Amino acid sequence: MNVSTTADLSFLGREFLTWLWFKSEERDGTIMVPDVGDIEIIFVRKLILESGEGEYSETVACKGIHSDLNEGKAALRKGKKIKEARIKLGIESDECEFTFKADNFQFQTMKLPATLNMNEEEKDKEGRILERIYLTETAIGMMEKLFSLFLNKRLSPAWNSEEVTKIKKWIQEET
Amino acid sequence: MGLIKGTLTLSKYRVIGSLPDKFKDFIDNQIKLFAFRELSIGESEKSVGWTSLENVLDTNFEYANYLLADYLIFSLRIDRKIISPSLLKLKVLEAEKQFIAERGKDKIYREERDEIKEGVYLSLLRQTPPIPSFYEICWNVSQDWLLFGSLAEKAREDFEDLFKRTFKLTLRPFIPWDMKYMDSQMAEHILSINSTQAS
Repeated sequence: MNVSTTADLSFLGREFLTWLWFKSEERDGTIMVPDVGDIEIIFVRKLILESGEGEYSETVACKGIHSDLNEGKAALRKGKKIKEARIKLGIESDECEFTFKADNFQFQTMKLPATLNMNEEEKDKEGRILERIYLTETAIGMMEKLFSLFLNKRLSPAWNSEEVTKIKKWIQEET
Repeated sequence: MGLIKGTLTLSKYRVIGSLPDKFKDFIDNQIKLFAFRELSIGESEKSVGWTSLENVLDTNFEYANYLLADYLIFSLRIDRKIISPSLLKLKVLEAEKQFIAERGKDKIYREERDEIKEGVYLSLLRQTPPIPSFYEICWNVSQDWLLFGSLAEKAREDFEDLFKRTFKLTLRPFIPWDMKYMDSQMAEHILSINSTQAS
């Protein structure tokens, strides 16, 4: 069977981001990734939620440190979906932070962990660039891995029977 | 994007197509062929081309300085001349007034008005300095993906177009739910969820 490759499936990006927030709060900012182990995912500072489409869309932006989480959840309760979030990702001792745009799986203002110190930097510019490429690839690769985890769950029978119930309960809880 | 320092903003692409066998020679020729050239003091609105990553003034790419381990790293430079619409409107009004005074007429025909507008626009374009923008590129040739340092639609369009003309390869935004790269069973399953969502 020929499958259409043009359908707009950006809702999957927004569902993924909501699921990721839920997963990160389920174990206090830690998510277990098969073959990798525990990683840290924390939603920080900025959330943009949206409902509707085109000229009928309604957007809510939440900024701040903790107050935004309550506002964000309130918006989820009203049926809005997360379009964009600022995420802190920790893998082993490396920590980076970026704004994740769900609709097109894009990364904005990604802050990488500090690499070599200044003196070493001058001596080994190429090494520094390679290290920064590696850190960037690792962060993007981890988000792709997390999406794949989400998608497998989303397509499994357990999505409706377990996960949705847990997410709904979490959305109703006050932060 | 910030490969050397600072924060990174990036769009990931799949690179579609194959490079020739002697791909290093091909890339070296092509990147130089499509390197950035300064806008002449003429009437072009835009100039687009490749520059080296570490020195944006370098368009010679000596010793293939874009090669770094498995990656090709370089920059895209886009110079654009932007004419303010309000300035254009003002200058056109002035030119029309002068035209009427010189010809002793009280009416301007549409063709005359279009000609005046075109002349004013080209004259402003000649006087306006271009505004340069730089975007980093990190291309993993063996794994057929690359990172481009912008999310802006216009910059991405210019990049996709120049990349295709330079390397004869097509770029496709990397989105993990791209059905073209999914097995058909999974794709059908996702489509069924999509239709449930829509209904």
